[in-house]
Formats: sequence, C-alpha cells, structure tokens
Amino acid sequence: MRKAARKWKGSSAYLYLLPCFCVFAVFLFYPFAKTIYLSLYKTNKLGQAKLFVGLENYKNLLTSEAFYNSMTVTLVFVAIVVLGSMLLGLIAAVLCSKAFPGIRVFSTSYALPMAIASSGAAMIFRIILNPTIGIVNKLTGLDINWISDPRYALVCVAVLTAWLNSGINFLYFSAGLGNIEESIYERASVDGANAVQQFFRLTLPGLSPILFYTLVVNIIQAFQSFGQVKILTQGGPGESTNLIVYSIYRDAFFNYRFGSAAAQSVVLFLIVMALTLVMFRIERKGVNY
Amino acid sequence: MSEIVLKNVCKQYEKGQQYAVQDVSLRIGEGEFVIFVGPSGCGKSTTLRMIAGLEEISRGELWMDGALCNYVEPKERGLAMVFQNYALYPHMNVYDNLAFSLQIRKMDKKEIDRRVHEAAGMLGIEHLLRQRPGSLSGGQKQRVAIGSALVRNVKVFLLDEPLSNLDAKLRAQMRVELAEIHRKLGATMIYVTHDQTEAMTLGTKIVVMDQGRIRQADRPAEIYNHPADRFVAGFIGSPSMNFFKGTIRVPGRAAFLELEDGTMLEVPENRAGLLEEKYAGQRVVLGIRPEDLHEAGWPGGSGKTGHADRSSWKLEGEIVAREMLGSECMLYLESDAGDFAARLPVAVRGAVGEKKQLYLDMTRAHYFDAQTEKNIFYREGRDLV
Ligand SMILES: Nc1ncnc2c1ncn2[C@@H]1O[C@H](COP(=O)(O)OP(=O)(O)OP(=O)(O)O)[C@@H](O)[C@H]1O
Ligand SMILES: [Mg+2]
Repeated sequence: MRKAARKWKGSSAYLYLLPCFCVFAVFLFYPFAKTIYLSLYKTNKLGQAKLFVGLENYKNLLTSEAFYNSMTVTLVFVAIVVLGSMLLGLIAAVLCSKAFPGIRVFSTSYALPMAIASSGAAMIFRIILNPTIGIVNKLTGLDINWISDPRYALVCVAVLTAWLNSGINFLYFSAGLGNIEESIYERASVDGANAVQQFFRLTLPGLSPILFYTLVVNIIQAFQSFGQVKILTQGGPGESTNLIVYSIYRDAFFNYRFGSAAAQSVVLFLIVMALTLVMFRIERKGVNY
Repeated sequence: MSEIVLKNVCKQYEKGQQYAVQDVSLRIGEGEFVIFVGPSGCGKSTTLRMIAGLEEISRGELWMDGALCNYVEPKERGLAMVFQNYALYPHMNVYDNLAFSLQIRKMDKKEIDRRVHEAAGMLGIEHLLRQRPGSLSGGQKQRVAIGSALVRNVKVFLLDEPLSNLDAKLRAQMRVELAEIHRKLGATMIYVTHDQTEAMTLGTKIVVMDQGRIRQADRPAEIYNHPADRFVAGFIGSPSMNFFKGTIRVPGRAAFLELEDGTMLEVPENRAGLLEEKYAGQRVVLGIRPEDLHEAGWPGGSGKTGHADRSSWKLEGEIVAREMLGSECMLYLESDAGDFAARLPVAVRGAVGEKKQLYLDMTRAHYFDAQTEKNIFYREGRDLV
C-alpha cells in the first residue's frame, strides 16, 4: 500500500510535465523527427517522401560548393553579429547602470530593438542604405550601393542583426550588472582602482555567468537569422548573403528540394548543438564563480 | 603629517530628509586612534564614508594634511578602509582579495606575496587563501576584509566595526594585534565599534555620537569619568549608569539630594557649593555607576569623612535579578526611587525577592540638569574638580 503510494508520488512528477511535453511533441519533436526522415528521401513537389536515398542528400551537400559558401557566409555573419550585439548591449548596459536624469528614455531606446520585427527593421534599413536617397550615403558623402555590392551586403545584414539582437543583450547585461554589489566598487575606489581597472577586474568577472549564457543564446539566435536576409538581400548579390537558414528556405520553397533542405537543417542542428555542448564544457571548467 | 580636520560637516542623503550627520567638527591628529561609538543609525558609518570620499559632504569642510578634500576622489586620498559589510570581491579568491590594491598598483609580485602572507598569517587565514569569499564564514570574511586593508602601507585606516563578527577569543587577540599595528605603523586609525572594551582599550580618543551629532569627544578616561551629558554617561560603561530623579534640598548647612521615595542623600562638600547656589529646590538627575554601589562595611562606609555624613548614602531595594559575571556579581534592584543595578563581589548575600540595603559612593556620583540633561559639573572637557 505504502509502496504503491510512494511509487505514485515518484511518477506523478511526469504528470506535471505532460502538458509541456505535449506542446513540445507537436511543435518540436515531431517536426524534428520528420526532418531527419525527409533528409533521407527524395521528395515530390508537395514535400512528400518518395524515394529512399539513404545518405545521398548529405553526400551531395558535402560535395557542393554552394553549401560550403553558405557555411562560410554564415560563420562570418555569426561572428560579426555575436560580437557586435554583445558589445552594443554591454556598452549600453554599462552606460545605463548609474542613475541619471532621463535614464528611462535611454534604457527604453536601448531595449527597443527587442520589440522591432526583423523584417520591419530590414525595410527601414533598405531606405537608410538606399544609394540615392538613403541617409547613410547622404551623411557620409559616400556613393556606395550598400546592399547590391557583394563586399558590403553581408556586413550590412550583420550590423542590422547585431543591432536587433542587442536589445535583449542590454536587458541581460543590465540584470547582470544589477547583481554586482555596489559596495565592491566603493572598496575598489578606496583601494585605488581607476574606472578601467574596475571594469576589467570587477564588472567583467561579475558578469561572467550571464556573459556566457548570453553568448550561447546569441550564437543560436544568429544562426537562425532569416527575416532580414529575406527582405534586405534575398541571399544576394550573388551568393554573398546566402545564410544557411536562407539557403534551406530557398531549397525547400523555391527549388522544391525538400530532401536537401532537410539535410541542411540537420547539419545546422548538429553544428549548433556541438557549439553549445563545447561551450557548456568550457563553462564547467570555470568561467563561473 | 596626516591630520584630518572636519569642520561643521553635515550629510543629508535626500533633500528635505533628516540630517544623517550634522555639524560634526573634529580634529584628528596624526597617529591618533579615534573611536566612534553611538547607537545604531547615529551616523558613524556615514562620517567614515565621508572621510573616505564615498559620500558627498552636503555642507562643511574636510581638511586632510592642510588641504581641502571635499571633492578629492577616494583613490587619491590614500587611505585604507574596512567596510561594515566587508565588500569582498566575490569572484576573486582570498589571496587576490588581499592583493588587489597592490596588484592594481603594479607592485612587485614577490613583495605582494610577502605582504599577503604576512597579513594572512597574522589573521590566521593562511589556509583559506585559495578559497572564494562565498565559502567563508562571517568571521573569516571579516578577517579577509581587515587583511586587505592592512596590506596597504597607508597613513590613515578607516575601520567600520572590523571585529563585530569574531568570537570573543579572536576578538581579544585581534584587539591586541590592532593596538600593536597602530603602535608600529604610527598610522591614524578611525574606528567604529559597538564594543565598550574595544572603545576603552584601543582609543586615544572616543567620539560619542547621537542622532548625527557629536555628544562628546575626549580621551577614554575623561569620557568615562566626566561624561558631558546624561546620554554619554548612559551610553559609555556596561552595564550602564543608574539614574535617579531627585531634588536639591538645603535645610541647614549641608545640601541634600532628595530622591523620589524621600531618601535624603547628603551631597559631598566638593559638589555642594554649586548645587546649593544654583539648584536649591530644583530637580536634578543623579547618575551613579553600578560599581559605585557597595555593601555596608566598604572602606569609609560609615562615620564622617570630610563634612558629609556617609551613613546617609544608603538606598534600599528589592532584588529582582541576580547575575553571575564570573569574578563579580550583578544585582538588579527595584525601589521607589527607581530601578538600579549594582556590581558587587561574588560573595554578596541576597537572593531574588529579598530586600537589600546598598551604599552609594556619592563622591563618584554625577549630577545632571533635569531639563538640559547636561552634566552640571562639566566644563570645557574637564570637571571642575
Ligand atoms: N544611502 C543612504 N540613503 C539614505 N539614508 C541613509 C543612507 N545610508 C545611511 N542612511 C541614514 O543615515 C543615518 C546614519 O546611518 P549610518 O549608516 O551612518 O549609521 P551607523 O551609525 O553606522 O549605524 P550602525 O551602527 O547600525 O552601523 C541612518 O538614519 C540611515 O538611515
Ligand atoms: Mg555603520
């Protein structure tokens, strides 16, 4: 009797997880399983699996130049976006960590990108970067076709994305800074540390747990950028901004090669997972305190 | 020379709020050991933080070494501070916490190492050097905080209740250690404490504060023997002074203090003059320390010495509590004149509930004006006697 009760108590935990699990199953586990399944088939135009081809989709992928280009573009993009958005968020958060008149306005505007849809922002950037009427060229006096020049297009998309992602980073970092005790800065200033020393010896280490978390989230988020590419460059000019997510989209919904798109998705998943695992491994070795 | 002078220093945290510190004027000479005492919230930490430069001075002047320092950055002031809440760097281990102030000055690594180990050894925290503050006990943290101030070779130390979290033995040990450091370095120490022993033994000067104001600033013995007012008298000394309300009567040649229960205590000769002259028929407060109450038979407890009749100095009360202090014994009594406490030899007789007659050593009593609460015999830092 008692044993049964205990057993029920132990397994009742799963009952609580059930609703959440159902949602995950429908929107996450099923599509994921289906993706893996599709990546092993050739499909018809409706995306139905028709012919089992084993690992051929993957083989094709790994021998195609377009895929490698897409990978390189994505890595460069992710590097710029992660660095840019974290720096922007960090600087904004540090600037807003001390109370001053009008701080509300500033914090709101630093956090605002979070609330802007990526496609909307991309539309605005199109106007800003327009070679003839855009404010960038007007102000700098340059004559650059930002979006149509393969040298600048990727950077433009990356900067836009960095700015979009900086809003949430600002929030993370602000919360992290709030967790650092004010008194250690007082002690440091009596100890004789200047502002730079205080930043590198106290602020950065104090942020390290949240810094790590933010880094992981940012990398994942950057890998999944889509809307801004779709609106701003459509992967062009040439293939210069053909990020992997955009390439998946194109393969699936323009070229109707669902098998190849699914294979790319799986590869993207593997990359992101590997990165995340590596970072957690590093973290456990002592970024934290 | 490192003299610190505060001139009418005031601190108001927010406009319209009460002053946390008000009109504090104080001269702290080089090498002094100044102790700030006072009830919680009286502005001790605030004063210290203003000296350190962590709080802006709302009004008044702070002079250090003859230079006005109101707006000098904390790091330029060249002082070391132990914070009331330790303020250890949570992500650094104890070693780095101790070494931080030296590391940022790019001091030679060997010298840093030597100083850190010296401080750690003195404080008994050498085995903790590799640990993070998060895993330390309160007392250990406090010792790290003390250590990180001591490694610095500065002229002025600010210590905000540095020993509050240590056990009695360690505290006594550290007290001796601090006195030694003070003697060796010849540095100025400004020290906040709630501990009477620390205040009396360490200080060359005690500053008693209440509600943001200095009540009295003087040498420990002066503060103890000649308190400026009733507040200081009650605050310094543990257990604190007994107070009795009374009225001065001059029926004949001698002056008497009539307590509320009608007891007449003859005022000794040296006090009688002023009291007869100015306070005849007026209300005063008599203050007498627990150790100045005695059993019958104490030397001079009977008969006449001088002109006062000592046999009149007795007071009866009912014992309500009895406390063993080890070498001595405290009796707490109730009487119609008021409640009082007495510190007596352990052998004293009397159980709870019994009546007990005690003698007051009126030559050591203090008289306070009932209205102003000032010590009637206090003048310019000295008693008239
Ligand atoms: N940052 C602050 N903002 C507003 N008021 C403050 C601030 N710090 C202290 N106060 C007020 O100033 C007064 C003096 O505080 P302070 O910390 O100096 O007291 P203290 O004498 O050190 O007390 P304790 O013995 O409890 O440490 C208190 O009434 C307190 O409420
Ligand atoms: Mg305090």
